[in-house]
Amino acid sequence: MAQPMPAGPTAPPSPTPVPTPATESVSAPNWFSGQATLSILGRNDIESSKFQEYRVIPKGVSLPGFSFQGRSNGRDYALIAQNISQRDQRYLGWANVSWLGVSFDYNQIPHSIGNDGHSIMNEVAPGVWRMSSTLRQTLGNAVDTQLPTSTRTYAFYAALFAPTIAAANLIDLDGLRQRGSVEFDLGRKLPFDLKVSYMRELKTGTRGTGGGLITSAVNSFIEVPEPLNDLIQDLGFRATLNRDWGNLHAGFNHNWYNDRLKTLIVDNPLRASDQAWTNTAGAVPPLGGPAQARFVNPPDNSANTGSLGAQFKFAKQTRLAADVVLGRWTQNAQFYPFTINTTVLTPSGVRADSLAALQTQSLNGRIDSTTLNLSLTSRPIEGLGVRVRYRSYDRANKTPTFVRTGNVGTNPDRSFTTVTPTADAPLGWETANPYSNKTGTFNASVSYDIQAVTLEGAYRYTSIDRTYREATKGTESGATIAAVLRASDWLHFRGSFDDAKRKASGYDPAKSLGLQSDESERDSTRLSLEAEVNPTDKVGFVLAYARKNDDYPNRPNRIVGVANTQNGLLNAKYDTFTAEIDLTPTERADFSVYYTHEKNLSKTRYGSGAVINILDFVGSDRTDTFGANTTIHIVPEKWTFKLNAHHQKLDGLLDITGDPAGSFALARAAFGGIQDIGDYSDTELTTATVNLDYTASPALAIGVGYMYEKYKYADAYSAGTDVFPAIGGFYLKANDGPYKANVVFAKLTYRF
Amino acid sequence: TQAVPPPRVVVEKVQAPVVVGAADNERFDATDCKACHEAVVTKMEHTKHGSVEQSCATCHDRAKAIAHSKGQADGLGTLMPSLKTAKAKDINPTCLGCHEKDRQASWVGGMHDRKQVACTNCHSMHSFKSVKAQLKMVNDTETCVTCHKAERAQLLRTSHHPVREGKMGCSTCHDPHDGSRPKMLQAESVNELCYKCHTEKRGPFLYEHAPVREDCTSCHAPHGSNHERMLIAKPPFLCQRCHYSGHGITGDLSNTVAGAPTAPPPVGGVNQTTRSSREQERSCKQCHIAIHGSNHPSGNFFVR
Repeated sequence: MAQPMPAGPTAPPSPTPVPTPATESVSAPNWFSGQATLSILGRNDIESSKFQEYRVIPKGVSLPGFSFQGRSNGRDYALIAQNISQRDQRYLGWANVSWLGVSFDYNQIPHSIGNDGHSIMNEVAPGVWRMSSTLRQTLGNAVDTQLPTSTRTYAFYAALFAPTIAAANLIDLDGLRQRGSVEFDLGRKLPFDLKVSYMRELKTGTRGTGGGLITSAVNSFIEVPEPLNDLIQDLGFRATLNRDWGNLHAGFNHNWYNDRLKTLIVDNPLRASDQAWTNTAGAVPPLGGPAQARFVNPPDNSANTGSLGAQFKFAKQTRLAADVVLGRWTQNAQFYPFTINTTVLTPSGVRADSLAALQTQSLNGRIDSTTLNLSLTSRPIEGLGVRVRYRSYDRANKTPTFVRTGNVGTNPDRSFTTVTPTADAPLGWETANPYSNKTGTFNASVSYDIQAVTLEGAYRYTSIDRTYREATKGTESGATIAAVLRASDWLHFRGSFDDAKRKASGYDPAKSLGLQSDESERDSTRLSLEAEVNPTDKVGFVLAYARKNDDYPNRPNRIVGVANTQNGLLNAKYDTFTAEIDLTPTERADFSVYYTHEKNLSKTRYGSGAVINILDFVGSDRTDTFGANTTIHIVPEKWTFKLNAHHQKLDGLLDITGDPAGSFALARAAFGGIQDIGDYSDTELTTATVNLDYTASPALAIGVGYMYEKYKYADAYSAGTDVFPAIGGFYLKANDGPYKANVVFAKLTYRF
Repeated sequence: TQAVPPPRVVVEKVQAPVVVGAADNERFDATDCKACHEAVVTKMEHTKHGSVEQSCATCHDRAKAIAHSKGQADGLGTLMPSLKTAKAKDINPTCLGCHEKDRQASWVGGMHDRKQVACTNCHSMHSFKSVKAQLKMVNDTETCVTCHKAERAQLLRTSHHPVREGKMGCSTCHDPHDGSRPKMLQAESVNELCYKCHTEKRGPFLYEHAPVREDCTSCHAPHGSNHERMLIAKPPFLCQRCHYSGHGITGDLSNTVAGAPTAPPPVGGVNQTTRSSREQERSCKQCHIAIHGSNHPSGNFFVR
C-alpha cells in the first residue's frame, strides 16, 4: 500500500486520472469529464518560513484544483490546474490532433528561505544595500580610536553595534521559480518521430543568504539577501526513426542563461568612504579599507548539446546500441574590475577599480564534453543474460589561459596582491588552472536463471584522468554479485553485494597537502537485502537492509613520515533498515505502517604539527522514521476516512576526541575539557492529516479534514547566536526554525 | 498528497455475457470484453491503449482470453488471463513489443530490468491513478518510494528538493526506463543534470573549484539532508574532508561550546571568550561565497 509523502492539506487534489495523449484514433470513443474543487481553510499564524518553504497554505477560500479532459472525433485534450492563482500554482495540459500534438507545463515553485531576517542595511536598488554614511563614519571612528586594539573586545563591539542592531530592518528571504515548457509533437504524420521543445524559467527574489567578507581595518562579513533575477531558456528537438530492426535517433538543445542582476553591492558598516590601507608594522594599528564591497553574480552562459545514436535489435533479445553526445559550454561575460575601492592601485599605478587594470576583459571560457556509450545485451540461451557496456565521459576545459599577475583577492577590496606562478599553479593560483577530467568505464555482467532464482555476477573497471589535480590518474575496479528470488506470489527477495577499490596515482606522496577526498584511494562495499512476503491477499511484509561503507586508506600524513597523522576524511558509512506491514482485512479498509532506521557516520581527522594534537571528528546521524496510512470506506462509495502520518527524528552528534595532553584539550581544561557537540543539525518532523469525505452524488463530493504538523531544529552552530555573535559579523538570522501548525479545511468537489 | 477520487465511470449492468468469436483469426476487440469488464475497459478506452486494434488480446493471451470468454458464457468459470501473477520476464516483452522505442529503447539490460522489475510494478492499464504515464500511484515519487525506501526517508529531511510538495518528482532527474546512463540520470553526468535547474553554476568560470566541477554529489545529497543546502556533512567538516591546511583549519576552531576559548578572526591578537565565527552559521561559506566558481578577477579564493 502507498505511503503518500506529506505535502499539506491543500496539496492539489489529483484530478480524475486521465490518459496519456493518444496517437491513434482507431475506434476510440468520444468522452469528456472534469472536476473543480473549492477549499476553505483555516490555520494558526506561523512565523517560521519553514512551514511554507515550497508550498502555500492559504487561509480562507482557495481553488486547489480544476481540470477537464476528453476526446472528440479523435482529438484529445486536457487541462489540469492546481492551486489556482497561488504562488505555487501549476497548469499543465495537452491537445492532440491527427498530425500534431502539443503539451505544456507551467509550474511555479516558491522557496521561502527565512522570515524576518535582521539587516542593518536597506536595499536602495536591486542588489545595492546601503546604510547611513553618518552612522558608518561614527562606527568607524569609534573602532579606530579604541586603543589599544586589545580593548576591542566582543563586549566593546556588542555595545557599539547594539543600537544599530536594534534598529535593523526585517527582511524575508524568498525566491520564486516560474518554469514553463511546451513540446510539439510533429511526427504524427511523418515516417519518424519529431519533437520540438522550448523551456523558459524565470527566477526572482532571493537565492538565500548572500554577502560576504569585507576586509578593512576590522574584517567583517555582512549577510544580506542574495539577489536573484535569472532567466533560463532551452530550445531543442529530438528525432527518432523507429523500425523493426531498431532505431536511429538524434537530438540537439541550445540552452542559455541570462543573469539580469549582475552584482551585489554592500556598504562597509565601518567605513563611510574609501581609505587607503595602512598597516605599518609595530606602529599604529591598521587603518583604512573600502567603503563598499562588490560581489559579482554568476555570469551569463550558454550550452549546446547534440546527440546521435542507434540501436539494433536481433533475435534472442540481443541489442546493440551506440550513442555519442557532444556538448559545449561557453561563457564570455564582461569582467568587473578587481575592486570597487577607489584607493587601490596596481603595481604599475593604475587604479584597480578600473577595467583598464584588468589583464583581459572577459574569459572566453569554453568546456567541451564528449560522451560515448556502447552496449551489447543478449539472452543467447534460455535463462542466460549477458551484458557488456563501455561508457566514457570527457570534460575538457578549452578556456584560453593567461598567467595572472595579481589581484585584490587575497585581501579583497583592501590592497593589491601580486602573485608568482609555481609548478602547481602555473597561472598564478591553483584555482586558475583549467581543470579537465575524463572517465572511461567498462562493465560486464552475466546472469542465469535457476528456476525461480536469478543469479548475477558483474565486474566493472573505470579509468580516471584529470588535469591540474593532485592525483592526475586513478582507477576503480569493482565486482557485484546479486540474486533475485521470486519463489511465488508470496515471496520476493533481492540481494546484492558490491566491493570496489579506487586507486590514485600521478601525485607526489611527499607533499603534505596530499589528495582531496574525492580523488583519494577508497575501498567501498555495498550490501542490499530486501524481502517481500505476502502470505495471504490480506497481509504483506517487507524487510529491507542496505549498507554503504567507504574507507579512505593511505590518506596523507600531516606529519611527514609519522603514521596515524592522516588528515581529512577517513571513513563514511551509511546503514538503513526498513520494515513495512500492509494489511487489508476487508475490501473496505486497508492499513500500512513502516519504520526506517538510518545511521550516517563520517570520520574526519586532522591536526597540526604534533602527534599529540591529532583530533578526530566523528559526525553521526541516527534517524528514525515512522509512517502510517489508512483508508476506511465507512459506507462504500459514500463515506471514506483517510489518515496519513509521518514522523521523523534525526539525532545528530559530533564526537570530538583528542589527546588530553594536547593543546586542544588543555585550552579547554577549565571548561570541562573536550566536549562533544550534541545538537548537530538535529531535526524532528511530525505530520498527520485526516480526511473524511462524503460522496453525495456522482457529481458532488464534500470533505473535511485536519492537519497537524510540528517541526523542530536544534544546532549548536546557530543556537544562541544573535545578529552579530562575533566581531564584525552581521548575520541575517532569518527565521526558518521550529513551528507547530494546526490546519482545518473543508472542500467541495464538483465533477462534470 | 490528497487521495485520488474514484474514477467516474458510469457502469451499466451487464445483462448477459457476450460470447466472442472462437476462431483465432476472428477479430477481437475491446467491446468483446466490455460486456463483463465495463469499468476497466471503459477506463482503458480513454487511454492510448484504447485506440489499439485487437486491444485486450494484444496484451492478454488471446487464446486464454477467448477460452475465458467462452467459459464464462458456458458457466465454466474459466479464469481471466490476468497479468497480475506473471513474472517480469513474461510481462515486459509484451509491453516492449510496442514500447521498445524512444525512452524505453534502452530498458533491456538496465538496472530495473536486471532487478526483474515488471512494467506492471509501476504502471497499470486499468486502474492507474496518475495524471501522466498511467502509474499505479498518484505520481512518480509515490511509485518509486514503494521500492526505494531509504530515499523515502531522505525526502523527509529538513533540507530537501520540493519533491514531497509535488513540485518535482523522481523523474525530474531520473529516467526509470533508461539503462544507458549511471543512476538512470536524465543527463550525461551528475553536473549536467544539476545545471538544468542550477544553470548559473555551469560557468565556465575564471576561477574553478575542481571537485565542484567534477561531481556535485561530492558535497550535496540531492535526496535530502539534515544539513543546510542539502550538504552531505556540516561545514566546516565537509570542507575539511579535503582542506586540512590553511587558515581556519586548526582544531582550535572546532569547539562551539559557549564560553570555551576559541580563536575568532584576529583582532589585535586577542582571543575572545565566545564561539568562533568560523564555525557559526554558514561557516566557511560565510566568506568563501563563490564556492561553485568565481568569475570575479579577484575571486581566486572564491570570496568574490
